[in-house]
Amino acid sequence: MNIAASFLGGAKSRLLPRSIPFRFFAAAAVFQVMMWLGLFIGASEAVDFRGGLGTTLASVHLLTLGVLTTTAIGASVQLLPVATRRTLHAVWPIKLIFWLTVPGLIALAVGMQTAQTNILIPAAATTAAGLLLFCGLLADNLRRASSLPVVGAYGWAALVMLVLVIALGVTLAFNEEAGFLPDHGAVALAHLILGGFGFMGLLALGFSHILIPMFALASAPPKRPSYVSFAAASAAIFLGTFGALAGSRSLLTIALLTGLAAVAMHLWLMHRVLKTGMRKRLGLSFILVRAAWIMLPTTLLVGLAALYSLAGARGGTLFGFLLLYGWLLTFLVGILQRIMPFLASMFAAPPVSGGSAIVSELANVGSLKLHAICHGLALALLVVAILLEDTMVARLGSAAGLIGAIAFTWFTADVIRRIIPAR
Amino acid sequence: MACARPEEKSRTWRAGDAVHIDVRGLDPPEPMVAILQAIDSGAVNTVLVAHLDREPIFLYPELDDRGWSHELIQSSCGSPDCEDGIMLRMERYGA
Repeated sequence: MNIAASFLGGAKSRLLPRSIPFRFFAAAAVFQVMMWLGLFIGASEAVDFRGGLGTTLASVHLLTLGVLTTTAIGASVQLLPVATRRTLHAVWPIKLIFWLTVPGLIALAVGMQTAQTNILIPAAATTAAGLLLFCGLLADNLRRASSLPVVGAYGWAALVMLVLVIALGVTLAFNEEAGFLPDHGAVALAHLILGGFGFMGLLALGFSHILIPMFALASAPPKRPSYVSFAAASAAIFLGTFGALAGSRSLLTIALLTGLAAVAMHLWLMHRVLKTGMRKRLGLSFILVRAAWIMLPTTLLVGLAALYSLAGARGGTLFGFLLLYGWLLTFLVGILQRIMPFLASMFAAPPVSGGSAIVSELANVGSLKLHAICHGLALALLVVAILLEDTMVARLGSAAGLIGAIAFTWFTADVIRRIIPAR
Repeated sequence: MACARPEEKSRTWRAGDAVHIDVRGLDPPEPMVAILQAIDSGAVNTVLVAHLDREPIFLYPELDDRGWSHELIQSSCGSPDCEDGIMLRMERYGA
């Protein structure tokens, strides 16, 4: 019998009921399908997207809030209480977060897609309420995370960024009705920087300091260069945000160069981890993780080129696509491929005779291979579609992404199915 | 069962039929890596007892894959989960 699921005492109360984290993962999988479907439907708009209400903006938020943030909530509410040794007294706040953010996001996507502010504004407020509640839970756990200083630093910074993202997001929603902002586009760019590089980006970099060594079975990266990388990344995001709001190309340039330095240091740290790890064959998930690591500096370089009009007419669109789909989504699905079976194994009974359990069985299943192939194909086709402003290629890319997302949803359902008999 | 190790400078020691390893104070994922290194090195034949700061949830699948069972055992405070850490008993299946 798996003791993680059965022992009495304090540690048990830190393991949430299985339905809590997996409801977020299931929602994220479905949102990924909806997101690609949105891109497929709005392919003609997506290849030249520069902001504004419509199908593409709805699809982008299905990705950022639906896939990325929902997954981050599910993983962090499960992992942080265990890591910080803090007993959870109640799960209702987490359930409330789910019931505020998930229906809120669906309404938000509808409001964006149909450009109806009477749906958009209450939906933005509902989603924001759920996210602020998550901020409270995250802060409560992070202040006890003294034994994880680097992850804690990234977590606090990501938390600040999330509060700012929410504030700007709600402001943008109200502005669609009232039109009080002098430059809606500048605030939208700041919102993108804070959300993509700030909240989600810093969470991805921070959790890498514990997840990548854990998967590679290596020591954590040394603290001093980790803090230097963190400081550079945080400074880059603040500079980029101010640069976007002020419309300053100089500030944005400094932000991008600082960001490149931070990324170079982070990737060097991760390279060292993989090089010294006990496990050399990291499987399919790390092909995605490595691809995401290539996309991250590529995004910044494309951003720099777009800033100086060297990336073609749709450089800005390409920058946003590489940030959200190339770097963040690729990294997330790579990590999820690996982490979901681990989390599931906490709830499922291992074979009586010992030997391989749920992690090994799910490491390389066909649905994950199909997802990885389709995801890579979708990214490549959509980059070409944006460069050529070709709707048909964009539709093909979105269709590939959609097939991959359905395969990933199948994988998620399979993981959930395996933990149900342990009830 | 006491949580303290007999020699302050050593992280591993033998007591009865088990090898003990104290990984308290190490940053994650060092405790997991140290335990798996002990198992993979072949230094432990049958039973390994780890003294940890926190429950090593990501260690369990690695143990399952290596054919080791695991259970939390009572520590110095009489609970599996003390202020000064937890104890995990690992045993090779069929040993």
